[in-house]
Amino acid sequence: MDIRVQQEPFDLGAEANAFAARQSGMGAVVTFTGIVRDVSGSLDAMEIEHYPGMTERALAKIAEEAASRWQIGDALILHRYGRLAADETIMMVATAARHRADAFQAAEFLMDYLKSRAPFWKKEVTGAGEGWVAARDEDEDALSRW
Amino acid sequence: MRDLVEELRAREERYAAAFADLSALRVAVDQELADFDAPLVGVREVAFFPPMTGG
Repeated sequence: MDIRVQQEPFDLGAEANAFAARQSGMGAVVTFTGIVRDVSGSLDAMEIEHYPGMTERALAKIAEEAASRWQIGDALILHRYGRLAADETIMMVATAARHRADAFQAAEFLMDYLKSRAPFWKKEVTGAGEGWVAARDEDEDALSRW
Repeated sequence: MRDLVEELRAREERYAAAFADLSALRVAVDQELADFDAPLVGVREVAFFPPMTGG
């Protein structure tokens, strides 16, 4: 398991290639990438805060949970914090499994849990001011399917 | 945990406002998500925060 929380941008292609290259006997690698959306049309920046110390532990726990539920050989969670611009990459997950169903489901599980169980908070900064992004009920509801 | 929340509520107006609706808050005990019924014996760190919006 590879858990990283960092401010710096990352190279999606390089990370995906490195992740796939270090697997052995895995028939499937699934990756997901989250990107900053300019919902209002006037976004200057998206500021992401987290809870250092707890964040890494929470992500590791979510990854362990995924590994206990599906036959996955490896997982990567990489999440950025700090000030990001629209269309910048916020985060990625990757899962590797012998079969694609496990890789897809584990990746979806990681995303669903990460959205409302890992201590990250997003703030939108626009010309009109700034505001914290509200948690969505759908994100909380998404957990009930697992 | 309930006692801690009550003590904070009584201490300052802004705490009372922050803890007005516990369903809108999350709590972590020693950097692990917990609930408002969690015991605090031996606990070193308690954090209150709004619902998380990662991903």
